[in-house]
Amino acid sequence: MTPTTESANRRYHRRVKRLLPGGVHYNFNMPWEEVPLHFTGGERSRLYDMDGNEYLDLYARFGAMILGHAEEEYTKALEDAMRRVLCVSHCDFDADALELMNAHIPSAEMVRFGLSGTEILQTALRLARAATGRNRFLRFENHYHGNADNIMGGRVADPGHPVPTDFKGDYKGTAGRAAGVMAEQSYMLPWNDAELLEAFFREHGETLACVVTEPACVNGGSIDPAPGYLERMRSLCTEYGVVLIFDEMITGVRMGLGGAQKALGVTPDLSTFGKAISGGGVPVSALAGRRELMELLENKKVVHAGTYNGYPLGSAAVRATFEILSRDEGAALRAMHRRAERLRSILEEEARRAGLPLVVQGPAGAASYHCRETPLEHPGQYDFELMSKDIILATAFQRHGVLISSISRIYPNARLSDEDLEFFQSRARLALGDAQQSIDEIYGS
Amino acid sequence: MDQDHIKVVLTKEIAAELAIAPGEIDEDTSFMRLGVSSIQALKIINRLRKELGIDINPVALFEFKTVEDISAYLAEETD
Repeated sequence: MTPTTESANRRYHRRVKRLLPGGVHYNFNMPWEEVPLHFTGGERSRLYDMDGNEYLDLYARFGAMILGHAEEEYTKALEDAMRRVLCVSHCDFDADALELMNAHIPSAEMVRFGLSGTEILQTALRLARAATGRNRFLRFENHYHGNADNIMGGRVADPGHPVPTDFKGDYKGTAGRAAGVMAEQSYMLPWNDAELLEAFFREHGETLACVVTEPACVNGGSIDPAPGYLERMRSLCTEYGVVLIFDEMITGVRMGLGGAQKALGVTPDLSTFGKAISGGGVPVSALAGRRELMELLENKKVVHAGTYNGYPLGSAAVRATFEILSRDEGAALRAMHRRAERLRSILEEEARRAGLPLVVQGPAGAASYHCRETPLEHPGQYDFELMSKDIILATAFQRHGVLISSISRIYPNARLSDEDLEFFQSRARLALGDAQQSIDEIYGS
Repeated sequence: MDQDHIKVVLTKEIAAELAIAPGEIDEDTSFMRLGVSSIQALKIINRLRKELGIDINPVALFEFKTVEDISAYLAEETD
């Protein structure tokens, strides 16, 4: 029998779950049930659920919602675009969106639009293979580049032969993966170790089509690149004729309109964007790159197809996002970064007060907290126990009205206000107290 | 360690966490279908660790998602 105290959200979840597998539209291999919140509305940094609860949204739909909810100028731009021309292959505001990306992103000599990060990253691999005539790519431990068979999850069993294979306990592992697809196409190394990378290139560099990396590893715990690491990666790729691909799905826009590549001063050959480049309201991914590589699309040697590629609403969203965020020399993003630093210091102060070991690390627009004493130095350190503790705190935050992105990422938006910071401080105190108690209960001796 | 004993302890801990009777738990139903949340799963595994006095790799949860499978795995591990 259904308890009478069941929340409207849980009741709705049960209804949805009858037809929607797991009651969610996406899943990794996590061994527990997820009961998502169903929202009825949102404004600026706040969201409201079916039970009338208010939340500070630092989840921001995996970081995509960089303009906040119901942003007036952005919403109007989408409405205008819908009324003018809803679905055609090419419209008369493509050029604005392309020129804005070209003006801000160092590697964006040419740009193609797609829909999802998974799909556009595969197109980048295809371009790199076509340009080099080589098959294999190199990727790094605990980075994430979409949910295609050849690039998601896995682990190296023998460091002497660093190819990724499936392993038990991989939350990014999946049944039904095409047999051998990771081992045949790729290598995997620990990230942030320049000596290891150099040694690898000496042995395998001439067989590589490309290296794919997050320039700051947000998926592996928001880990900044070690000084000189990306520069060394860049020079090795140039020396061995390997295409360097930055996956800027998260860092793009969040680290500045020029992405991590501009902020860090290292320009890849190709880069992939998504999420925040279109303000979060509609999906757009983008492949940006050097003209000589992108010309492989121009001369039709490489195929990149898709019904909705470059759809008008998406182009309007990219244009509006770049226009809003570039105004007054990027004032909105600067303010967002300033307030994000304040979120960080509030969290650290309140953790000290609660007696919970905690660090906050990574770029201001895409930082993560971790329930440990010292920052992670490489993504391989982000193990199950730490993830579990981070999840415990994220759960406590949700209970107290603050939404944190998976697993412990803090995604501010350009409309984050001082009132939001005060709200965060009051809720963080409660959440950290609760989390400390749960962590003690679960992990204490 | 005896699998039946592990099964009894595991069922008791899941029931306590979900506030239901142990008899209501089907051994072949996955944690997810039982409605176990992330925090509850971590608490259950930890209590099991303490009660049985064994070290449990939490990664086991990813591979062995039912009472039957987890207890069989732990019984084999502690043999």
